[in-house]
Amino acid sequence: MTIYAIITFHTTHFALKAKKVLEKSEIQFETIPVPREFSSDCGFCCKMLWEKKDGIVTILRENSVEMDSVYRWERDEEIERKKKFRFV
Amino acid sequence: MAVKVDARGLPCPQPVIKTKEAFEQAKGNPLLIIVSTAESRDNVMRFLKYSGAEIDKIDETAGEFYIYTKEISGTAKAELKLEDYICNTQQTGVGTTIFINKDRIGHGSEELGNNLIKAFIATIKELSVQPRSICFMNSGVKLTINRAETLPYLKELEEKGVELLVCGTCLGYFNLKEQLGVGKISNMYDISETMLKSSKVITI
Repeated sequence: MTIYAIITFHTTHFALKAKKVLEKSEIQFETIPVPREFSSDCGFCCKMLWEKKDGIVTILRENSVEMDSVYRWERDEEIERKKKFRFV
Repeated sequence: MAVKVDARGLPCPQPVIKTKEAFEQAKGNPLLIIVSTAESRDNVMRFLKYSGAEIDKIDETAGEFYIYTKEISGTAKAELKLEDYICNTQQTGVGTTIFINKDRIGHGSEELGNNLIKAFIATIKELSVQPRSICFMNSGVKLTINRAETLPYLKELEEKGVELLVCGTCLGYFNLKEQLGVGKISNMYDISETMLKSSKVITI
């Protein structure tokens, strides 16, 4: 089980700005579509390990990237990988 | 007891031929004909009607059609003319192919488009339905190289059994052949054949 933090933004512009800003840092993160659990709105969010989130929030604040929310996302990647699927 | 004709998956006009054979052997019994396309159903129904059989009922379950007739008496009234039962449409293919012909989605903003294609591929791997193949052409091949952000997602798809065909000519054009990180270097023959054999091609 891995615990991630999901940071959402008010607009796509802020999400893309966050990506640009964070790419300059050494911190590992991913820009992904907001998981269905958190919002049905279309949008990007940043995903990182839970323990990395404070550093990321600080960088985003320093760069005036407005955030919406920070969520805790528990995921078992192994189970996800083995989930059943069918070809269509 | 109904004489059963299982014609599922058979290309036309075979379901009709099998129906006729059963018709001749029915000897007062009803028929049950099972087909798996609407076109075969229509052809079989047409044949039955011209042959003087009465349809009892038709059930459709999971895309298959169960045609029940009433008791068949005598032989088929109409001669079987196969040319009347040639399918008008090609047999449909199998599976979905996604054709990615650029390194982004849509027009307008390149930055947004790059992020959208990445999000698209990241999302596909999460779904409970998967395409059979993904073909990459032109700048779409850039999504498959070692430093591409989409690489880990595509690797997961490949592990799941999704076939990734990457245009070799395109890799060569962008001088990226050495950097291919996932998928199989392919050519126009394989890519076009894959698309034609699919039941559905989604172009991004």
